[in-house]
Amino acid sequence: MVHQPSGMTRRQFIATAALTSGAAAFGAFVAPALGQQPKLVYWAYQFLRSSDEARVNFAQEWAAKNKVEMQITLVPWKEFMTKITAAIQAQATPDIVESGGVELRALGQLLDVTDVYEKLEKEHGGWLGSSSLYMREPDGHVHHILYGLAGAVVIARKDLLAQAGFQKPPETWEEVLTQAKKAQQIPRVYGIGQPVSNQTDSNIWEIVMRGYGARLADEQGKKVVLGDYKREVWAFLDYFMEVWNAGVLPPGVTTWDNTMNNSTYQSGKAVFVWNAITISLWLQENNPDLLPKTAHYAFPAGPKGRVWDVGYASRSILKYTKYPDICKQFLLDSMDVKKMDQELSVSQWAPVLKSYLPFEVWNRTDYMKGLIELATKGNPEGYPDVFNDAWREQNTHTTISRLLQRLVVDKWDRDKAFAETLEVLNKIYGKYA
Amino acid sequence: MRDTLGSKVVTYGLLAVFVIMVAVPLFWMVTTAIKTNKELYEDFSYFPQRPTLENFVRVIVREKLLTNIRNSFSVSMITTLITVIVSSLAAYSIVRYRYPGREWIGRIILFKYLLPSAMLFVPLYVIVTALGLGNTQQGLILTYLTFTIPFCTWMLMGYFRGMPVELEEQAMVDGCTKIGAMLRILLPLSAPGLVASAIFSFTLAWNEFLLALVITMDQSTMTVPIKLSMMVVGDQYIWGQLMAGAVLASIPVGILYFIGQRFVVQGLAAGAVKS
Amino acid sequence: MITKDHSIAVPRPLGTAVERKRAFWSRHRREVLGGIVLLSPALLILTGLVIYPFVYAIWLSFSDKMVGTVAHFVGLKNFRYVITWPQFTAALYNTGVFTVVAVMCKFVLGMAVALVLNQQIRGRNFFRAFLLLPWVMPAFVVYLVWRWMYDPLQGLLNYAMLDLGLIQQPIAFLSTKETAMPSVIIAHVWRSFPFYAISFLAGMQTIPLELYEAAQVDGSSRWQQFRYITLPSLYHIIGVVVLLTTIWTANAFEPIYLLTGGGPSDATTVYTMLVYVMGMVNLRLGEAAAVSVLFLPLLIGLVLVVTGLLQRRNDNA
Repeated sequence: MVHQPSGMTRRQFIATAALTSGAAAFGAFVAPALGQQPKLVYWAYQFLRSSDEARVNFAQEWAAKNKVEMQITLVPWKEFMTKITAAIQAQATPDIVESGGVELRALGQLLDVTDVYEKLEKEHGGWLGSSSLYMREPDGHVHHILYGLAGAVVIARKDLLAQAGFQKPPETWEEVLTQAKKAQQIPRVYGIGQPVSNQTDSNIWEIVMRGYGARLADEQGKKVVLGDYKREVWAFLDYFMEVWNAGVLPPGVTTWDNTMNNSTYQSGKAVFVWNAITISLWLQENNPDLLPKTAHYAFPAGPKGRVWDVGYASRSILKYTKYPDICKQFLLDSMDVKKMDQELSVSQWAPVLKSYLPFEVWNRTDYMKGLIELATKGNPEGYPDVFNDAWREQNTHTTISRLLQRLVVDKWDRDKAFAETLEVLNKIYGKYA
Repeated sequence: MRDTLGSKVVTYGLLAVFVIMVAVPLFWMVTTAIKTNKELYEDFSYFPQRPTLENFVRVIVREKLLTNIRNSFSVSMITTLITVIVSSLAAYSIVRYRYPGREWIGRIILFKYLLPSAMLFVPLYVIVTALGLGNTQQGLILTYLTFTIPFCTWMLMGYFRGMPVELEEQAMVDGCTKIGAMLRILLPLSAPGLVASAIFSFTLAWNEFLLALVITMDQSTMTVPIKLSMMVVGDQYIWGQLMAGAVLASIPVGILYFIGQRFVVQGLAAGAVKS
Repeated sequence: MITKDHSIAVPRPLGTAVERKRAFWSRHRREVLGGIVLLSPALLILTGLVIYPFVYAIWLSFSDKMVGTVAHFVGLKNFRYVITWPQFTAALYNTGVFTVVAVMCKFVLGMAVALVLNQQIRGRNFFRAFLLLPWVMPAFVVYLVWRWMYDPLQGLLNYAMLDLGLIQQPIAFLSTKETAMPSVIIAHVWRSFPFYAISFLAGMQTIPLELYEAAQVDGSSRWQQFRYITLPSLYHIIGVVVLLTTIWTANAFEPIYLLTGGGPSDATTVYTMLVYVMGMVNLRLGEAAAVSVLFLPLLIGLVLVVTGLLQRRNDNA
C-alpha cells in the first residue's frame, strides 16, 4: 500500500476536529453538573503540516477521552520565544509547550518531570543515541521530555554525481568539495547550496570547523579556548576559502535565510545541501520526479573526525500549571508506541526510544533510513563543546559564519577577523560564567 | 488653469513611470498567486504557464482566511473610529483652548514613537492580560490606540492650526458654543485631514504585526498579518498561498482607499464654496 | 480678536468691576475645564499605555532581567556591554544612513507623486488609489516579494536585466556589501512613499486655485509656483510628516529583518535588529532595553532639530 505523507486527508481532519470540539463543547456544557473539567492550554510545535495535524489530532482525542478541556494553539517555531516571553511576563502561561525546552529550563520555568523520564526509560527499553544527554542534568533531574531527534543530513543529487563519476557518498569535507566542483553545471546548477549568513543554517560551518579539531570553550563550557586552536582554525579557513574561490556557492549565500537552501535544492539548482529531511517530504508532495534522484548521506568527517550535530524536539510543562499530574500523563501518553508509529511516519524526526526502532517506516524510504543513522551516529549539539546558554547564544549569533563573512564580505585579514571572533566569544561566555 | 502641452506630457509621463514602478512588484505578487506550486520551483517564467486558482481556494477553505480578514477589519475599523474621535477632541483642545501645559503636551505627544514596539510590547501585553483582555479584539484595539492616537492628534493639530479662527469666532458671536463651533464649522472644513487620519489609522492597525502576534491566540481573533506569517511553515515558504492570501488581504483596504479618494474631493468642494 | 497662538478669545461686554472679575474667572475656569475634558481620553490612554511601558523600559536597561527571572539592579553593566559590542558602531552608522537617505527619497518621490495626482488627469481617482497600494499591503508580504525579486538565482530583476542584456552575471543585490543597503532602501521607499504622497496631496487640495491662477497671470513658471505657493502652504504638513517618518524610519525593523537579516556581515544591521536579537532571541531584556535607551538621545536630537527648524521658519513666515 502506498503510504501518503499526511496521516489523513484535510477533510477528515476538519471533520474529526469538528467532532471532537463538538464533543468537548458538549462535555463543557454538561460539566458544570458533573463538576468543573480541568482546562489545559497546549502550545503545539508548528513546523510540518502532516506532523502538526497528527499531534493536534492526538491531543483532541486524548482530551476527550480524559475529560479535559484543551485549548490547542499551533505556534511556529520562529515565533515561540516571543510569545512565551510575553506570556511569562503576564503570568498567563500555557501548561504544555513543544518548543524551547532547554531555554525555558535555563530560566527555571519548567516543572520537574524526572519521574516521567524514568518511567519512559523503563517501559520502552531505553533511550536512543544522545537523547538522554539532552535531558539528564548533572544533578540527575529532567525538565523536558524529548519526542524526536532532528538534524541535518547531506541531501545530494546522486544523478548528477553519478554523471560526474561519483558513486559513493563523500566521506570527508574535502571530498564534498571535489565532488561538488565536478558535478555542478554553472549557471544552472551550483555545487553547494549552503548559506554563509546571519541565519542559523549557516552554523553548519561551525560544525565543519569542529571537524577540523577546533573547539570554542573548555570542558566545563566556561572559558573560551578557541584562541589556543589557531592552527586548526587556519586549516579550516583554508578549506573554506577553497570552497569560496571554487565558485561552488551560489550568489547570494551571504544573506540567505533558512528557507533558501530548501528552495534552491527543490528547484534543482544545487547538488549538495545540508538540511533536515523537510526537503524530501516536500519533494514527495510537490516534485516527485526529483525524489528518486536524491540521496541522503551522513555528515562527512573533517581531518580530526566526524562531527554531526543533532537537534531535538521536546515537550515540557510550565511550572505554573494547576494540573501537574494531568500534564505528566499527557506527556507519558504522547510517547505511546502505536501513536508514535503513526506520527513518526509523517514527521521528520528520528526516534528517541528503542521501542520505536522496529517501526516499518524506517525502511520505507531512503530518507527515513537516514534518520536512523542520524539518531545513532549523531552527537549532541555543540560537541565537543558543552551545550549551554553561552554556546547557544553564540550559535544564534552565528559567530563562525560571521567570521567567514568578515573575510569574504568585508575583506578583513584573518588575524583581525579572528581577534573580533575571540572578543565576541569572550563577551558572551563572560556573561554566563 | 490652462495646461501647456509640455506640462501635460511631463505629467502623464511621470504618471506612467510611477504606475509602472508600483505595478511591477504587484504584478509579480499576483502572478505568483496564480501559479501552481510545482511551477514556482521550475525555471523562471514571467507569466504563469498554467494559471490556476487553487491557491486562492486553499487559502479560503483550508486556512479560512476570510475569518481573519473579518477580524482585521473589525479591529481596524473600531480602532480608527475611536482614534479619530479622541484625536479630534484632543487636537481641538490643544489648539483652540488655553490652559497651562498644553504646549508641552503637544510637543511630547510624539515622543511615544521614540520607543520601538520591540521594547514596549512586553509591558503592554502584561497590562492587557491583567485587564482580562488577552486573546480579545478589545485588548488588541486598546494597544493599537497607543500608536494611532499620537500621530492623528499631531496631524489634526497641524490641520486645525492652519484653519482660520475667524469662522469659529463668527459662529460663536452668532450664539454657538465652543464645542458647537468645532462640530459645525471646524470639523467639516477639516474633512480632508480627518479622512487622511482615518486612512492612516486604519492602515496602521490593519498591518500591525508584533502586538497581534502576542495577543491573539486562535482563529477567533487572529488578524491577517499573523495568519499570513503562519504560512511560513518551518523552513518552507508556501509562496503560492502566501501571495494569494496577500492579494485577498489587500482588497478590502484597496477598496477603502478608492472610496476614501471621493471623500477628499468632496471635502475639497465644500472648502472651495466656503472661500 | 486674534491672539498669536490662534486660540479664540471672544470679546465680552464690560460691566462693574465685580462682574468683570466674576465673569473672567468663570470664563477662564470654563476654558481650562473644557480643554482638559476634551484632552482627557487621549491623555488617559497615553499615560496608562505609554508612560508606564516607557518607564518600565528605562528600569529594564539598568537591570539584569531575563525572561521569567527576577530583575536586579546592575547599574551601567548593560550599557558597557552593549557599547563595546562589535556591531554597535555599525548599527549607529547604518541607522543614520538608512534613515536620512530613505526619508530624503521618500520625500522627493512622495512630493512628485502628489504633484502629479493633484493635476487634472483622466482617471484621477483610480490612480490615486492605485499608487497608494504599496502602503496598503502588510509589510511582511511586501518585503518577501521584494526579497524574491532581488534574488540572483530565481528573481525577476536579475532575469529581466540578463534578458535585456544589461548585465552578464546575476547581481546578488542583497548579498553584496555595496548594493545591500541601497537595495533595502529602495524596497522600503517603494513601500512607504504613499504616506508622504497622501499627506502632501491632502495639503495641496486645500490650496485655493485662485493663487495659482493669479500667479500664472503674472507670468510665473510652474517651478516658481511650486516654490512660492505650494511649498509654503504645505509647511505644516511637511513638518509633521518629516518629523514622524524620521522617527518611524529610524525605528524600522521589518525591512531589514525580512530582506537581509542585518547582513551581509553587518552591512545593513540597524539598531532595532540589535534590540530584537538581544531581547527576543537571547531573552536578555536588560541588554535590549539598554540599546534602546542608548539610541534615545539620537532620536530626541533628531526631533529637537526638526522642531527647532520648523519653529524658526514659522516665526519668520
